[in-house]
Order: sequence, then structure tokens, then C-alpha cells
Amino acid sequence: MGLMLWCTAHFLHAGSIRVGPEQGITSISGATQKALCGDTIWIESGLYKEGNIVLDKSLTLMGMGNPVLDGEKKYEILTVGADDVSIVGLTFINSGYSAMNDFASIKIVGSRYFKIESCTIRNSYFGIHVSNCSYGKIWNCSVEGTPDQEQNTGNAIHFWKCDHMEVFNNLSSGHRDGIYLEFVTDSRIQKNTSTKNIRYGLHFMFSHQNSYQHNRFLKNGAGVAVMYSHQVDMIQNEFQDNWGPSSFGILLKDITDSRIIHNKFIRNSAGVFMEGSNRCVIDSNLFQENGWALRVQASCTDNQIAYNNFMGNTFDVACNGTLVLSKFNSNYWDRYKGYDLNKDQFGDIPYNPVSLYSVLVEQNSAFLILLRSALTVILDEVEKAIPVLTPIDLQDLSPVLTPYPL
Amino acid sequence: MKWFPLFLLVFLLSCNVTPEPMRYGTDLCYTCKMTIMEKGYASQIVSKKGRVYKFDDLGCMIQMMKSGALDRSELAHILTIKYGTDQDLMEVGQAVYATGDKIKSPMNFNIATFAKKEEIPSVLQDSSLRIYSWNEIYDLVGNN
Repeated sequence: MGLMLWCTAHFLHAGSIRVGPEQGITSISGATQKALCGDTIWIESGLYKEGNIVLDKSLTLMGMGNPVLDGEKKYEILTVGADDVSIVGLTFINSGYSAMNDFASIKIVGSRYFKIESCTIRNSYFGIHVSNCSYGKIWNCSVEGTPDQEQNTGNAIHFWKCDHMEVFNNLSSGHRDGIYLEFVTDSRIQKNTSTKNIRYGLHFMFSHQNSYQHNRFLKNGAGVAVMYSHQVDMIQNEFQDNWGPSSFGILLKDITDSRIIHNKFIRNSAGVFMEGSNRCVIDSNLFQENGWALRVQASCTDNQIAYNNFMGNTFDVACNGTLVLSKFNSNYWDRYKGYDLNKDQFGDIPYNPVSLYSVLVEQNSAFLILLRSALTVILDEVEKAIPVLTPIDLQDLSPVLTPYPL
Repeated sequence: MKWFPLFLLVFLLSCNVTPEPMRYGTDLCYTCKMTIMEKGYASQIVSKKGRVYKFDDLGCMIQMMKSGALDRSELAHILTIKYGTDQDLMEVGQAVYATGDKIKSPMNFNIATFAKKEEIPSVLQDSSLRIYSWNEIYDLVGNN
């Protein structure tokens, strides 16, 4: 308590220390040892090779110009274990790799109210690694790895057991997962771009009550995976160009009570792949030029799929069973061949988005060889007349005739 | 007829029940659908018909076995990868299993495999380390 009061008092007249090649203090660790709680350390341009720097006081590290901290492929560069730490405008390169420890450029452990802003991180094992923290902010950072390291790369921005995190306007690429969250709650992930990561652009597990808005996930190994979480909001994100045999825009695995609204799924092998997901709302999304727009496994129940545009997809919906307990209504389907005689803007006959051919492909992927052949067209027409294999319950009872302006 | 041995070879190869190497970054876990990335925690089942099921975490494999999706009598090999190696598969019955604070697997079951107790590296040995046999670890993993 005494220390806290002393620290608080010191904030009121916080000092500043300058570090630089031509200053009295030439090393960052030297400055952090001298500094008192609440001080700001101004770091001038230069290359700093100091091994592992440990920050155990509430300090602000402020870069002036372009200071570069080099881990020489051996060390974790900065380890933070204090509250109220700010790290602004620094560049970190070449953090070490270890099979046993999750070495990172910036590791934050058990801190409250930290802020990492406008930092650049290159060639790291983990970029920013945050564990057991609350109320943290990561803004305007760029984390890029070298993808040739393959599986020996960690995640660009990694959270474990955190709450109230704010991840805003960052770029992550060339890592295992762009943004990774495990046991993270009440957090907001906004306006980030995640691209060319080896596995997922965004990956979260056991992370409840979070929201993901305005993010872009492009050309990642397998798209975005959201797993074992509830009350997740995914709004106005873009999922693009995730191609591959096991790739998708989003994988929803055991997700409940979540909302997927106003997203764009463009050119993915599968736009949304759902398994074991219940009571999710998939509303006002654009599914365009995907292999499969939606793959709904039979283990999903009570999902509402409404007001979406399905355009130019090879398959609109695929499922692996005949019992489908999710509801489709008022979507726009470019394959719909119905009519609207009563002029109520809804098609007068229901649309069945699962074709017989997609059912056959689901059961045996070798059927894909018949794609766009006359045989599959004939099969589909026959099935439409006398449905045997396709799930009859899976119908959009009120398909719209013109696409929504999404 | 001179091609007959070749046909025979193709035929024999097509129904072998040998394990497949793990392709990290490409293979999917059969249970959780995640791309298998982390070395040293993966596992594999080969059925008598030669179908290979791969898993990113030993827990995922046990869950799948408990789910009843596969008949135990139909399985030729149940294999797990030794901790710290990327392709060193061993039969589950011959291995020992460790859990502890320092062991962190992709799906949070946090189980590491070793050929014998003595092989557990000293860095993992702290008060939280627990050692199990295959039957014990199989019972330990929950159905969910």
C-alpha cells in the first residue's frame, strides 16, 4: 500500500530519462533500473542489443525516431511484469526461438492497464504475447514474420487468460495465427488486418463475450477458426481468398448464442463451416464466389440464416445429414428460379439450397470430378421433382428476388 | 501380362494399414477440425481398412474413441507422437503419459507422451507433474 501511494504520488511529477548512443545513458536496461514509477524513458534512434530487458515498474517507453531493439535470434526482447506500462513507437527485430518457452518480442505477464502503441515487430517467434492480463490495449502495431520458418513460428498477437483487451488497427502476417485468443473475455478486436498467416487469421477458443468488428482476414492458410465459445459478435468483417482443401472463411466449432452479421465472405473454399453450433444468427452477410457458401453439419441446431445474399457460389449449402434444424428465410439466392406473382417481393415457391449433387459430394468427394457436367444437372432436376436424398426441411420459404444492398 | 506384378503392387499398397507421416500445417484434426501445427502432441488412428484419422491433441483422439464413432475391433493402430519429436509414433499401450503446469497442448488437454518415465526432461519435472498409464489417461479425459 505504501509503495502504491508512493508510486501514485510520483506520477504527479513524473520524471523523464533520455536514452541514446550520445546520451549519458546508452542502454534501455540501464534507464529502466534508474527510473522511478511513472517516469518516461525517451529512446532515441539507434540499434539496441541488450539481450532480455525486464520491465518491473510502471514506466513509459517512448521511441523517438526509429529505435530498433534486436534480440539477435537468442533472446526474448522485452518482458513486462508491471501495471500501467506503455510502450510506444519501438521496433523489435529477431526475437529468439525456443521449443520450451514461448519467446516473444514483447511479453506481458500479469499486468493491468498496459498499452502497446505504434510498434513494429519483425522476424519474431511470438510477436506480442499477453497472459493473465486485464485492461490492455494494443493499437496500430505491425507484426510480420518470415513464413519460411513454417511450423516453428508462434502467433503474431497471442492472448491467454485475459479480459478487457482492446486490439485496434493492427497488421499481422507471416505467423502461425494472426490473432490468437484462449480464455479471453470481454474484449474487442477491431479494424485489424490479418493476412498470409500459416494457419488462421484469427483463432479463438474458450473465449466468451467478445466482439470482432471491421477486421479483414485475407489469404490465410485456413481462414478463421472460432471454437468452443459463446456470445461472440462478428460484425462487418471481411473473409477473403482462403483457398485450400481444408480452408474456410470461418470455422464455427461449438459456438453458441453468437451473431455473424454484415460480413463479406468472398472466394473461400467454404464461406462458413459449422459444426456443433447452436442458436447463432447469420444475418445480412454476403457470400460470393465461394466453393461452398455454407457447410452446415447435422450437429447444428436452431441457427437463423436470414437476409443474406448468395451469389456465384459453386454450392450454396451443403450438409451431411437429412435432418437440418436450422432455419433459412428471406435470403437472396442467385440460383432461385421462382416467380413472384402476388408482387410481395418474396418468391412464391420455396427454394431448396441443397442440391442432390452437393449431397453426393459431401458423402464422397470424388464426385467433384463431375462438376458442371450434364449428368449432375439432370440429377438435380430429378431430385427437385421427387426429393429422396436431399433434406426437404431445409428450405427458404420466402426467398427474395432481388439482392440486398450489402 | 508383364505388368501383373505392378498391378499386384498397386493393389497391395492400396490396402496397407501402415501409419502415415504427419504433415504439419496441412493435416486436419478429425475431432476439432484444426490444422495440426504443434509437433509432439499429435496422434493417429489407423483402421484395419487402412483409413487414417489424425488428431492434433491426444485428448481429441480419446474423445473420438469414446464417442463410439469407431468400433475398437476395427482399429489396427492407435498411435501417439513422443513429446519433443515430430514423427516418432508409438502404440498408445507402450507409452507413459505426463500432465503438468509446463505441458501445454493445442486443445488444452495438456498431455505429453514418453516411451518411459526416465525420458521426461528435467524442465518438466516440478510438483505439478503427474504420470499416467494409457488406461488411466483414457479414463481421465472427459467425454466433452
